[in-house]
Amino acid sequence: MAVVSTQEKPSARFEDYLFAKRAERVIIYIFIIGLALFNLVPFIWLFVSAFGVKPAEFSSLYLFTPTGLTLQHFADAFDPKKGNVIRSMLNSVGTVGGAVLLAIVVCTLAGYALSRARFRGRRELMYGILILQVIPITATVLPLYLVMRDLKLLNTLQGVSIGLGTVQIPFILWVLKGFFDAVPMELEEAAWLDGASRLTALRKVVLPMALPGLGAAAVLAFNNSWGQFFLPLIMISDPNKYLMPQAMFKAILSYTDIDYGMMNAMSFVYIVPSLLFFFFARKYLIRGVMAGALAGS
Amino acid sequence: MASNRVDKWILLGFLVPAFVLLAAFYIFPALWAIRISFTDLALTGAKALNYSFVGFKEYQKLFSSPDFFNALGNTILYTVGTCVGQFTIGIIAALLLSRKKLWGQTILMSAIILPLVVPSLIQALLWQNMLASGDFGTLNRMIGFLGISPIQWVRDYPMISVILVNFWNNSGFAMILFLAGLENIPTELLESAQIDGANGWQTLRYIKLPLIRFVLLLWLLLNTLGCLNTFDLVYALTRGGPGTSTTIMGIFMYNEGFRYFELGIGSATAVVMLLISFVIAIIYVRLMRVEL
Repeated sequence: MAVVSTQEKPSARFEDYLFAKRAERVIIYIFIIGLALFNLVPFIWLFVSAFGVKPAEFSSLYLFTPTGLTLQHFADAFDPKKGNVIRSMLNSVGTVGGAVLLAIVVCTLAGYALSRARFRGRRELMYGILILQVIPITATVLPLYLVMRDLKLLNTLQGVSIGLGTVQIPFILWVLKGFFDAVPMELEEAAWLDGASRLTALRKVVLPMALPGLGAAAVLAFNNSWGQFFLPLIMISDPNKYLMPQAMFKAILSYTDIDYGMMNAMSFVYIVPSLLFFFFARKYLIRGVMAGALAGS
Repeated sequence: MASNRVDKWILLGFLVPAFVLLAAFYIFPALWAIRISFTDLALTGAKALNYSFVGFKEYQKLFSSPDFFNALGNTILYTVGTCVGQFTIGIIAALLLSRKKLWGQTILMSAIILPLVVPSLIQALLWQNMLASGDFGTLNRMIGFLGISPIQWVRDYPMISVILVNFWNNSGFAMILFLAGLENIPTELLESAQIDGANGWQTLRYIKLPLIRFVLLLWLLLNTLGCLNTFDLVYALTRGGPGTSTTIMGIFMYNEGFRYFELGIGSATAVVMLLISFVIAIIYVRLMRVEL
């Protein structure tokens, strides 16, 4: 566009150019800032409602101008008779932690094997794993419930861990295989010459080099599992074993007059690990999403 | 180092734990869903133990149920709505961000993708406040600035409300995927297009979009399957209501299986979902002529 205008009107060129750039820039800023603000607005209520003192005439569902700061909502959230956040949080951390650990350990072994072994049907196997992701988890949940029942894993956190971890396997396997492919073979071969076995070489040589990849995979697996609500909802019926989303869901369901202040205090506790991961591992998160996304290309 | 043959078996052994888990808790349930769908198995009562094979009877029940078609229609509406919304905003944001380095770009992008990490239950809670009816609902206050009178979001526009939450949650994902695709396009290509006199729209239509078609396909696939798979967010926000206006497939299946204890119908629904997923995956791959 600018090229054409220079030929017609050389004198006006620079101003035109500047104006076009500036107008363009302003529009870009308005759009991007608008989108960013829209995405941030819902969080305002979370913080205001969790930490703020609500004016008496206001319903706690609405965003209000706080008349002061309070920790009462957190006291309610931590009260075993009300929010019982510690119990559910420990359950959540243990269960999701277990799921992540399970997925990472089995995918490290399998990803390494798929990266190094040469056998017939290896490519087909990789694509088979990729296609597994097409299976909607929602669709497998009914029979999964029966499998868990028959294995006596119903109403156990271990069962939920296994379920959540297994769902992560196809994706994490692809991500990790990609990272292992990037570790040069020569290093391992040197270790073998020193008499190291496959497992030792994997542990001492390959894993340290693939550590950023493992970190990215763990962050992804955590992020994908932390919010999961369907599996715990159908598997766990004992309130002492509720995970965070379940505890909050039951709180929403069981009270006629929901105390949103306490709910948001619970949300705050529940979202802290997500936010920590977001701020400290955002690069991993994005890189991992990309790695998984471009795995098939 | 052990002999090559032994080594190969050791490596294959490494595959075992992952595949045992996948087989037991992923593939087997999917196959079992197909089996159950041909029985009248129930979760409780006499049919829980003494079930029998009834052929396509559960499917007949399913396909003669208006509730099922309602759920199917809702799912399609939900999927199309979220895809269109996310694509439009995601591609615009990605195009704008790929052109220039903006001041505060990292912070702005972080803000846009932040909703990605919010657990679905908190999403539902936060949007109860956003979508609250009356003058004080946050979204109503926002549109109030534009002079629009308050809307009873969930009651009058339930599907739009749910789509809006999904959009809020996932537009950042679309944006970073598209952005990654756009940044991979060699600059020489765009420059030569400019020299040949292509305008912005032509560059987008004939160069940028075709070159990022793999990313587009991937996003479309993930998004469609994600929508088909949705349960958490919608259930926590509306529980399928008001009435059955936001009862999507996942919720329909949950209701049949775990509220009415009809595992047969629930599994038939699951099988239909499986089939739809595979068909969608095949269509997309063919459509984009991407080699897998």
